[in-house]
Amino acid sequence: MSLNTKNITIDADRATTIVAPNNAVLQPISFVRGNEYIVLANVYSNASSTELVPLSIYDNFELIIGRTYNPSATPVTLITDQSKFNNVTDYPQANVASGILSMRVNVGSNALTTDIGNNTSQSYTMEVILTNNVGGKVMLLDTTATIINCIQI
Amino acid sequence: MSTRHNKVHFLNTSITTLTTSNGSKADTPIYFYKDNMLLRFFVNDNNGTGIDLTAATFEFKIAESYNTTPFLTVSNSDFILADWVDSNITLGKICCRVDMNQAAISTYLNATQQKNAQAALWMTLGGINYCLVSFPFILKNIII
Repeated sequence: MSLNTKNITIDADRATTIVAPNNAVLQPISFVRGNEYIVLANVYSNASSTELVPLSIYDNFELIIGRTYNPSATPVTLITDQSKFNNVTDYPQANVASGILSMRVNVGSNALTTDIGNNTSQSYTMEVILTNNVGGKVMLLDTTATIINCIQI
Repeated sequence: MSTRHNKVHFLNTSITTLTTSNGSKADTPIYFYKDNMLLRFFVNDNNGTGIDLTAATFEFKIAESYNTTPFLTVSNSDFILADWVDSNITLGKICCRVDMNQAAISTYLNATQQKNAQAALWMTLGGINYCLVSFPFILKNIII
């Protein structure tokens, strides 16, 4: 069953999502509130390249979904548990050294429920930030994510 | 075919939205208070191909809004595929009985002609919940 799997391609040069090789920008990735997804990402060096980017120097991944850049605001989703990233149980082909990533994203936080209210859907910013073992940070992905509201099961 | 009021919903699980049979966006459905409906769902992927739903269980809910107590919850036991002679769970063709004769709906509508409401079809498979579709609909009152 692949219903809750999202495949994306990342242009590491621009930290955005692309459709290789014609550089077309993808429609915003969409999630349904209350669902859990596995986001599979191939990371290319730039939009016109088929060269996957080794990311093994980074040992910490963070995924953040939020609607405001206010530093005091709480993101609606913040994933720092490293077991949610590149887990071969989720995706056997996940391989950080080869630029093939997986990210398990649960889109059902109380903060999201409060923020989205009774809107049919709402647009958010989704970021993936990598940190290496000396504290250097890079923005791997900065894109728009649409969250669709739903009556919960 | 069931004697209930048949309604057909095509849906694209990739965008969690109702579509027409050719994949374009569907009009907002209309449901009537007190109606006994048989909802027939064609559960398709982004290419319009039916999805094998074997071994899944289902739940259909309607509510005033996303975070209110549903007017009704249709449980898996009311997804009776024998109601639809052409149902085929391996091709994503499923159906359920929906009884719109609910006091909560009457209370919500009161004396108004119609109001907006929300619906969602969920599936559970292997302990994981999947929202197959989330859509608004028009809830119409009737003269009793």
